[in-house]
Amino acid sequence: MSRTIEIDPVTRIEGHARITIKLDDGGNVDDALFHVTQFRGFEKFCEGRPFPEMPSLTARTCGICPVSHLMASSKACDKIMAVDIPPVAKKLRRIMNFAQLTQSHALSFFHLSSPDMLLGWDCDPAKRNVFGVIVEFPDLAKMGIRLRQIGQSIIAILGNKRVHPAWMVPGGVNAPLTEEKRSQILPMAEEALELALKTFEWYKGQTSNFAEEIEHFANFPSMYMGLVTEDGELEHYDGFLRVIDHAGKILHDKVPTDNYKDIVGEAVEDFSYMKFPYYKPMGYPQGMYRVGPLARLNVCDKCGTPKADAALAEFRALQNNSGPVTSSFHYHYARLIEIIFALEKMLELLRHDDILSDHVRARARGNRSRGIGIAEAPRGTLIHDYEVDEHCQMTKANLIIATGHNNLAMNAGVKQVAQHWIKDGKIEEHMLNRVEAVIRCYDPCLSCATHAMGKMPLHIQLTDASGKVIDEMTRG
Amino acid sequence: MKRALIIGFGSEIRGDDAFGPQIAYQLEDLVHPAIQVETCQGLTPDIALTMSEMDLVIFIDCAVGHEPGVINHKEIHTSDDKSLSMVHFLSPESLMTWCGSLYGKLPEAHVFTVTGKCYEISDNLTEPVQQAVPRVIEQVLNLLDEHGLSKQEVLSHA
Repeated sequence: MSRTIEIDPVTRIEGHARITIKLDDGGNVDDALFHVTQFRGFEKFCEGRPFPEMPSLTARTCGICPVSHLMASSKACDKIMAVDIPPVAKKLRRIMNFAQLTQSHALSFFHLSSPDMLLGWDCDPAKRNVFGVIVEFPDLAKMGIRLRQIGQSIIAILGNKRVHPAWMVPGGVNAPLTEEKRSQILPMAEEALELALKTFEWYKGQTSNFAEEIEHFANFPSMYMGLVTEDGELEHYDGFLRVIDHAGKILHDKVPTDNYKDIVGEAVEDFSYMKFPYYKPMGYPQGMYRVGPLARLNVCDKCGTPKADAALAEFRALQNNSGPVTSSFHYHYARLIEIIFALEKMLELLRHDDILSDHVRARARGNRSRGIGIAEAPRGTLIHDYEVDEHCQMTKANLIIATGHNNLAMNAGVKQVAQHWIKDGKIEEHMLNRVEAVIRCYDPCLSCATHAMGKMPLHIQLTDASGKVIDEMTRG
Repeated sequence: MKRALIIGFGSEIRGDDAFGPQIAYQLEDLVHPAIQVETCQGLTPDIALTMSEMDLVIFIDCAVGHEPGVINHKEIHTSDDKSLSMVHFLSPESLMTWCGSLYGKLPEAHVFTVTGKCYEISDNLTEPVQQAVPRVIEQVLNLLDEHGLSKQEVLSHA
């Protein structure tokens, strides 16, 4: 008799999700589906709003990466205004984005994923959580907290607010950087860089412990997409879209962000509220691609900062320099490199001659009926596509969030893990841990506007082919 | 003088979930500037480090489970409930555990909640929650008074 295993909800990710694993008559995995069961009507909520409100409004979709929405939205509004924002404003926006990347990646690595990596997937679930990490590895836990705190503090210094700063606005930023603020930020960024380098050195020594997970955690050929500069360097704010295939061959390069629809299509499935973006020239579902830290490091030619480039060379050696790094387990590795890059770039920008210039904002009314803003959020490419009427009020908003791009890959990853660890219909705790952990590699943020109730127990259901529950278990 | 932190948390576009931030914004104008007032969408681990430098921490949140508008105030301590740490956002109790375990210091901590009625996408509080706003502000100010942190007392220490 075929059976279905459900894991509901997935723990330590944002929003609400459920995993269903379908077993065939022999007890082996036939298919696995990652369902996102929460519907967000946010885009509808935006209609009728004056477009300049959009940055602060959309930033409230997320409590972890509000700066990404702020940035993509501000860029979309810049386009509607038809302005080229002052160069210093771009630099300042970049600095805030790097601060956010640092805090978000630190949260993912230290808080969400380190219990799996440090304590092991076979560890007693009662101990395999961040409290276990605090007990066993207090110094590492403190480093993670400090890194995140520094990222948050830099955002607060720039925007006068930690979580939803209104400093980034259509046309630039609403206040220049002062010497006093720069003097506050510089030592923090230097300290954070030291912490990031120390963590990276430590983590490199750990990867050999995860050989089986590296081999089977969403380790498959796919395409990759991310922003790069005109010279092909790692980029998070501006630049062009680049898509590479499984072997590293460039399929699309220097795609202006306004033309994203030439390469990105969106499909829907009846088992999930989250859309399934795909690489349009390849069709659905063959057009599976990955975004985020792993993809960004795969698509770029180099980072463009010395320490991150040295780390990038080690990253590429993980795949024997023979093409893109394919295991999604290495999202963790890539996150640490991106933190190093973000802090190096931040220091470079802060020391730039014109960074204290007070020409930081261009002003205009709406001059175009459409604006597209694309930036790299911590989890991947974030697209804000707006349309406005003659009164500058929003008539349409389409937000393609980073987690959405990875939807096909997350599903494929769950299936691969399940196929490797579930044999003969036997379900064990360690297997379920790994199924969840492969999702956490992508650090999905499914519905950040959700009120966190503070407790998300793990609920597993086993049903037969007719949908009847024949077994269930709750953990946590 | 005692060091105090007030944190109003919740999503500002999820109806009554905005209660915590709304209270925090109003308190910012009512308490002495030496008292740190923060808002956030959810509680994250870095707050433990800030808490470790405080004598008093006040969390303000919305809640479910009672009649809309019901106010609840309790002093909180560390929690052994490990599942509290399983999402990006933490509970006040688990933050206390982080604070004590990592930094060896525990501030006195209180949570004020009001039961919400609607959490759909909206930037307005419902009527019963709106009515609770002045009462919670008064209770928080009273708590600060009890700790010698009224605006007048803080000014006299300055």
